[in-house]
Amino acid sequence: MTLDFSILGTVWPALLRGTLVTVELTAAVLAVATPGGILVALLRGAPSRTLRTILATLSWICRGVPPLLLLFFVFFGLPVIGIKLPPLPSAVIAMSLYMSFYFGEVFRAGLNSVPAGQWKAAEALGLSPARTLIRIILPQTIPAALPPYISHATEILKGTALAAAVSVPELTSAAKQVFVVTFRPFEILIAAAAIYAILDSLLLVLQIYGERWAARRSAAR
Amino acid sequence: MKMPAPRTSPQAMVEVVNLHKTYGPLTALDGVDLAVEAGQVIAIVGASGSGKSTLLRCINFLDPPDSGDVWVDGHRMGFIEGGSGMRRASDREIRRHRADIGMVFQHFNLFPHFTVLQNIIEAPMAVRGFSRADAVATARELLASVGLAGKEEAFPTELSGGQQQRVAIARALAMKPRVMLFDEPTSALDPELVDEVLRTMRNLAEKGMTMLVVTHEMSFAEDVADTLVYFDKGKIVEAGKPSDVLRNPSQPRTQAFLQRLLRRTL
Repeated sequence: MTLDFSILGTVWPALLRGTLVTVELTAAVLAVATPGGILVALLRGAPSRTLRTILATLSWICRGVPPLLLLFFVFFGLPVIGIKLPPLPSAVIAMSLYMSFYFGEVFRAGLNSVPAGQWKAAEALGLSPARTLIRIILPQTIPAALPPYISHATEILKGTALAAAVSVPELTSAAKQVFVVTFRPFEILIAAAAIYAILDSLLLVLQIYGERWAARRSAAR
Repeated sequence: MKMPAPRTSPQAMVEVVNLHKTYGPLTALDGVDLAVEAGQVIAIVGASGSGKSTLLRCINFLDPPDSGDVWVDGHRMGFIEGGSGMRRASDREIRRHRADIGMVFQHFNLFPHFTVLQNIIEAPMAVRGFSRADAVATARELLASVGLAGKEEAFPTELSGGQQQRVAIARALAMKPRVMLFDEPTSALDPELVDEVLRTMRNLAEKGMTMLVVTHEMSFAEDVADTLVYFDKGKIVEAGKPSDVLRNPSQPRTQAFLQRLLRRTL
């Protein structure tokens, strides 16, 4: 068998469309699950015991079941109670729900890595809790939280392939649709894998940039 | 609403009346009374755990007291004068009043991801609503006054401990506070860096700043402070002119503490 990548010359628009959907879905999930994770992390430290128990239970459920099941629940289950959502928003909701709890753990560790004196100093200056969190505390969680954050973000990127199960036309399903009509699975799957690898690298670039940003600021005191 | 306890020094810049604070079973403040006139420097000494730092945190309501009153520049901390008397202040109102009280910490607590300049201008812009240009101009003046002109773009980790503490002083001063609280400002410093921070504090005292300083630096207390207050088990057990308290402590507990301190310094 010989590989002939010239087929890509004809199928690239389909792969490109799939890539755009994958990027869009990943970005949407990150945009929802990042603040979601910060919220979960903050609520895990809330004084209300009831709230903490509810959250721990939700976290246990959402991290304990297959993400595909959550996706089916949102897409096929919710219409039963009158909430009918298109495929892409369903995928965003299901994956964000699931990832918020993973990010919650990441940010919890990150928040714990910031010395309590930072909160106190900001408080003594009269800064509001919200501003303190955004301007003072969260940037300092970067050294501890960024590596696991990026590794989870990579999971999200790969996990978007699951959305094919509710017919979101993302990269993996686009590749499949193309190779079943062209009979060139090898070339097309290799091309799709290369696209995933490039997207993964972009996330890693973000990590390197973030670590460099943090390095000068968090040198040993 | 509980009426405030009567004040004995209504003209004082800071007055603390019968202040109590407990943490669970631990009594940190057990009925503290203290009045500080405008421009005065009070040195607060005592063994660790005696409640000195708690007093500072209660004055600016970082840790609201359980009972008792704190008056700063004629304003009762934690309360708002309403049409029909006093009401409890909201968190936002407490923050606004807290901004009138500068605080310097033992471990500096500079924001490590901000440059020196950003450290100083953040709160004046966010809390006081200063324009960036005004905040930067003030910050440069303050940096020059603490001997750190030209360090605007440095990050805290690039500075020595003494320099960091001087930035922390400038950061607190940028809020134009009426009072400055110092919580063991030189205790975390290498010995050779202590003097530069004390010199900065001395300058500030000479400019007429009202200061409450928790410290173990007895020579500073003697030279700069108007009053020395000795704390033990959440109470002020001795107060007076620093030289008197240091040379002729009337209380056995003060004597014992000073002797221990002396032995450690020698």
